[in-house]
Amino acid sequence: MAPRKLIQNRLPMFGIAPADYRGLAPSTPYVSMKGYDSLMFIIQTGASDGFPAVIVNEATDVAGTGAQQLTFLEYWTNEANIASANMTRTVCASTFAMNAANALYVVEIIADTLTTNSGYDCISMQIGPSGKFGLFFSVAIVGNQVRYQLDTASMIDAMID
Amino acid sequence: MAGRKLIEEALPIWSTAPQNWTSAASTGDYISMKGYQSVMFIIQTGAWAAGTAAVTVNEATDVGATGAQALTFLEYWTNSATAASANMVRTVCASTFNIINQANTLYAIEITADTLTTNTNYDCISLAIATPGANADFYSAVALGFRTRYQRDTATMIDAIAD
Repeated sequence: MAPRKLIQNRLPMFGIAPADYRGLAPSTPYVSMKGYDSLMFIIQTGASDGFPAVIVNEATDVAGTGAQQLTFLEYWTNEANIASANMTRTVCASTFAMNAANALYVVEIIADTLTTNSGYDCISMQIGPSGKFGLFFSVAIVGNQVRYQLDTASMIDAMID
Repeated sequence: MAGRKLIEEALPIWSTAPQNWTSAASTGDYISMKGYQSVMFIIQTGAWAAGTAAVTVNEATDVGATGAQALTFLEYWTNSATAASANMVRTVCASTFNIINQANTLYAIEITADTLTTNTNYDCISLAIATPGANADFYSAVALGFRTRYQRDTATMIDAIAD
């Protein structure tokens, strides 16, 4: 019997489309964490000369109501992906700056770090603004410990409140 | 107590750069599956002017692509309505499928280690995407190594792009 697959209880989601974001500050859609233990944001840079800051916002719905910056204290990075696949954990104070072309950056937010006592249950990542330099990147999101992943009829939709 | 994080057992791995792939095919980095139970490739498209691009997965006996040959896979997942819903749909296939002529779509393929030709030492895989033609078509791909051994201990971690 084949081993259990990652996709059976983790859901990849669209974050930020691959493009040149010079002078822009794109955000991912707000993702509702009602159906997930945690969300992993995977940033992948391409050809890049400018390296903007990364933050995560929380809101009370997927429209961004009451948006405010969320605290996170670590991220993971691989800026030498040609030589090694291993990532390095770095501590931070709710933000960090991307630093290299062709690199990977990962932020994972667990649901209990949101301000849930006042109704915050949605999060979005924002990158930039980037200045006037060429800056190709994309962001993919993976929802961890998904409920109902194999049953689309009853699946909790992460982009609906 | 905080829930266990995905990064503790699944390692994001570089595959294919985000860029305009007009008239160009891409071959992702070969990933050794020695340290993983499965590897999931996540393909994300951006602006897409026209055309389609065929997706395949190759296996090889090392990360230098020795003996590369097409690998069989029988399903993939897709979300072509990313603005409206986050849910993905499973589709059966015969070891290939096309990235469709539509912007901002998401695809996932997951390869379990026991589907490789391990009896002749195939233990590395790579994502291959054919040219979409002479069109301004943007995409990127990242891999996730699942059930990673030693993820939190970089000194003993098995490197996925070394044999």
